[in-house]
Amino acid sequence: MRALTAPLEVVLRNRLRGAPVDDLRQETLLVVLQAARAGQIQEPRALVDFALTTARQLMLNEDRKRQRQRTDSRGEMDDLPDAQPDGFDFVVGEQRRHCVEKVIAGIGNERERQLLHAYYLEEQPSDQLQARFGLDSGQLGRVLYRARQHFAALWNALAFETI
Amino acid sequence: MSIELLSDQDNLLLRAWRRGELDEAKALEFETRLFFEPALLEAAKLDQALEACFREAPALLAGNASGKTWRRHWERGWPLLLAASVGALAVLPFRHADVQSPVLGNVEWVAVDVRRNGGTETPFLVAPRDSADLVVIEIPAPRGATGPFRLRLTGLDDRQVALELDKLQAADGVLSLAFTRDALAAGVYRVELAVAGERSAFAPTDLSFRYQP
Repeated sequence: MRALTAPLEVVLRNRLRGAPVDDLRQETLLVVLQAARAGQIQEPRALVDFALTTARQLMLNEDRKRQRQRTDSRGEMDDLPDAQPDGFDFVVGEQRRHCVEKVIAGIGNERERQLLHAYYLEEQPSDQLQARFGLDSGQLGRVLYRARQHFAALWNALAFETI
Repeated sequence: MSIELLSDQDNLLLRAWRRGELDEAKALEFETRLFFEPALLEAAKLDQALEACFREAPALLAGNASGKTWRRHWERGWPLLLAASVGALAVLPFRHADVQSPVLGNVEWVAVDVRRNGGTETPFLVAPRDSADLVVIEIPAPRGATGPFRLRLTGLDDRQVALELDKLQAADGVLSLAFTRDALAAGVYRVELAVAGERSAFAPTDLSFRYQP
């Protein structure tokens, strides 16, 4: 089950566009665990398929439930603001925001940060980015690799004290 | 943590998946791979975190930060960063090795190598500025190897291991070691390396530095 948790969380986070994933992750794992104990799943690949299918089904159910609630309340819910997706659940709060700023400030040089900003936030197509920054695809891959590496190192160093 | 250089194809796939551009069959195929490929999973996790961070503090990342932001950064001592950036602009792909101890916000980068220290026995001095909360030391990786490595810093005086990191990967021939300013006490430290995942003993390198927080 432990091996399923991390990838499942990443998948749910992507599909739910930043909404909280904890409940759905736990629910999915519970269903998978029950199926495994009942002998319905025989090998790892089937376990993953079952977990992904279950997660999708639970997400659909959740979505339908929300739609129903919205209809039942005759539009009252529409007046409420949607929950703001925050990407990573831990990236919240003033102290953590400060932590995030520290991490971002530690990524590469000015040009590299411009490139990463365009890549992650402006969502420019890769070929346009390569043309704008004069990089080939291999160089772009290396910049991304360095960014991930630096981010992980800095985040871990910060997490040691502040998270 | 397994951070590896992804292929162009996987970078493109990862991005398309994050942006919801894959059809259901391809998305499912990609998601299945996340369960079996630790490097791809780690990249996906980091990209999600990076994107979230960029959304949290976009002004820090935008190249066209507001004048106010720039003034504030300038007052904090950004001339050095700008000088370093101008140097870096001339070189692609990006390298840190030629940048003289740049400061980015409250992070100070120090490249420690024998060449910069003139090949002498005197340990390289690492004395972070007052504004630095985080220190990143970059050392040359063993030639032709990308790792993963285990790295540790051992005090020359007390022979005690002060800091140890596992699964470090070299990028552009450089290993990056990040720690908070207070993680190391003042003293002289020797850099020792071993190959990760093997029972090999740590081997001392030629690199040592004097840390003066």
